Amino acid sequence: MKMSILAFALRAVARRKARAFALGGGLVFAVALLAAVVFLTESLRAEAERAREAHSDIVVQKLVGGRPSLIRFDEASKLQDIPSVRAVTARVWGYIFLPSLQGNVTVVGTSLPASPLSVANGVLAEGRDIAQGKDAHEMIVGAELARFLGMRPGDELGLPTSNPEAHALKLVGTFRSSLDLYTADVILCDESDARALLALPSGEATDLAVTLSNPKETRVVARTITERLPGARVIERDLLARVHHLSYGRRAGFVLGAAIPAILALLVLAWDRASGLGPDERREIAVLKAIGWSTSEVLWAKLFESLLVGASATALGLLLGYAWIFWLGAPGLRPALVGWSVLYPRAPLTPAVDVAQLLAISLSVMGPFALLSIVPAWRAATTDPLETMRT
Amino acid sequence: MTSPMKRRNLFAGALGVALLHLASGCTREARCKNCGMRVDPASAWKAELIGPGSLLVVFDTPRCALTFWRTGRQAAQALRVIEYYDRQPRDGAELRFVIGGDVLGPMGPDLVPVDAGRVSKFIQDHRADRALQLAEITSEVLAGVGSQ
Repeated sequence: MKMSILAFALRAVARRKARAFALGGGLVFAVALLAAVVFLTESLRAEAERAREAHSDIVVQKLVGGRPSLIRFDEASKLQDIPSVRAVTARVWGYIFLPSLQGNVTVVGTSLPASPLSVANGVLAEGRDIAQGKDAHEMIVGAELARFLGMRPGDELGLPTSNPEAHALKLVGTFRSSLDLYTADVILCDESDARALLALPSGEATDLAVTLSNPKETRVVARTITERLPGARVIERDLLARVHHLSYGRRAGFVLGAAIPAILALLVLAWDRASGLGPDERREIAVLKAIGWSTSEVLWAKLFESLLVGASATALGLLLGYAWIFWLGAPGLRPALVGWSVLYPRAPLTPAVDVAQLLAISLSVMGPFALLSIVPAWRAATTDPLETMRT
Repeated sequence: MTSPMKRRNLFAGALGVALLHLASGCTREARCKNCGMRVDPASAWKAELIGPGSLLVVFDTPRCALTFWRTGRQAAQALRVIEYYDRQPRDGAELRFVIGGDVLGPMGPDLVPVDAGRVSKFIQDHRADRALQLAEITSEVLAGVGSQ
């Protein structure tokens, strides 16, 4: 019986195409906007979570005048004997602005015993790993960055630098990483080359990365580091992750807040259309009642009708939201949610979809929509059919 | 004609069930002998009593292992625990067991195995009460830890 009512509802939607498009169109836009913000926020949060896993437990920077400055290599020895500290690595890295990309690339120096690829959490996509040594002058770059630069293994690149002694680097391979950002902006080379390119004096490093054997001691170790290196900025991995999490959530809240009037206008329009029954529909209900349909069967038919329109519109809205973010690269939304996108090359977004949130969006739109369209149908179905047909 | 085939199918089915049972038995998770909690193989609180003939008995915390040992339920020659700071398994006799403070085990207050050279730093950082050698830990001491 329900199947025949469903078939009737399907035919009713087909009969009133224009109304269905008007109702569905509003819903599609509202759902697409909501879903796009949720998709983008989740994707950024997932990226931040992957970044957290790749981060050192603690990073120590030296501050001069409140700004990060270079730190001496021998400062590392002051931290080696803190209980729970497994390793302290002085890192050499920095940014170089590439006019051709209108963005920064990150040059990371690697030295033995760490394998260059392990520094970027990467796996080789093409070519080979760099040969470490002063005279090799080789580099591997993220696969996306190589694509931006139009480079293939064997090509040479002279990065803009103030140091005339810096060598052009030969690309020997590309890598992929669990972190999209790394594949889009990281250049890995020998430490001596990075030092020359970034004009870093010998004996100094960009920062110190501290690895702990017991991560539960992070807070205590951070406190001890502050005591031993007064004036240093100590960045804990968990705090960094929390900052990312909060900042993406806050930005998504701003965007959604700004979009609320538009979403409400669309929903009110859709609900207004759904909640009012035209004379034709009222007559149709009266005829159905006159030929023996019960009130509940009429209500089921109307519910199916709204659900058909609502579900199709919600599905289409979700698909549009997905395409907007992950296929088109989130034009319009990305600058609002991604703080660093202006300076860094554009990394592709990795889809991260939370099923619970999709369900919440779908139900919050479809539930009220279906309920509101039931009320006028119930009113029409409970009036006398003869009276309705006469008016 | 079909009877031997049916028997063969039945035999194959029974064999499959037996193999599955055996496999589930092999992968059965270890449980603490004292409190019955599941012992996570990667846990930093895992403790092992080494009994006669190198027999290993696994516990979820040092407190459970010591309670089991000190109440005479297991004869043991040594206790192997994971040192708090470097997270490496060590002989309990080489370490100190710290009581009190803000470091809690998976079952609440516990004895924290700490290298003798780092005990004072631990007590200072975590506001702990005192550190004991393995031989000093009696069932009375353990009862005191549990009631903290």
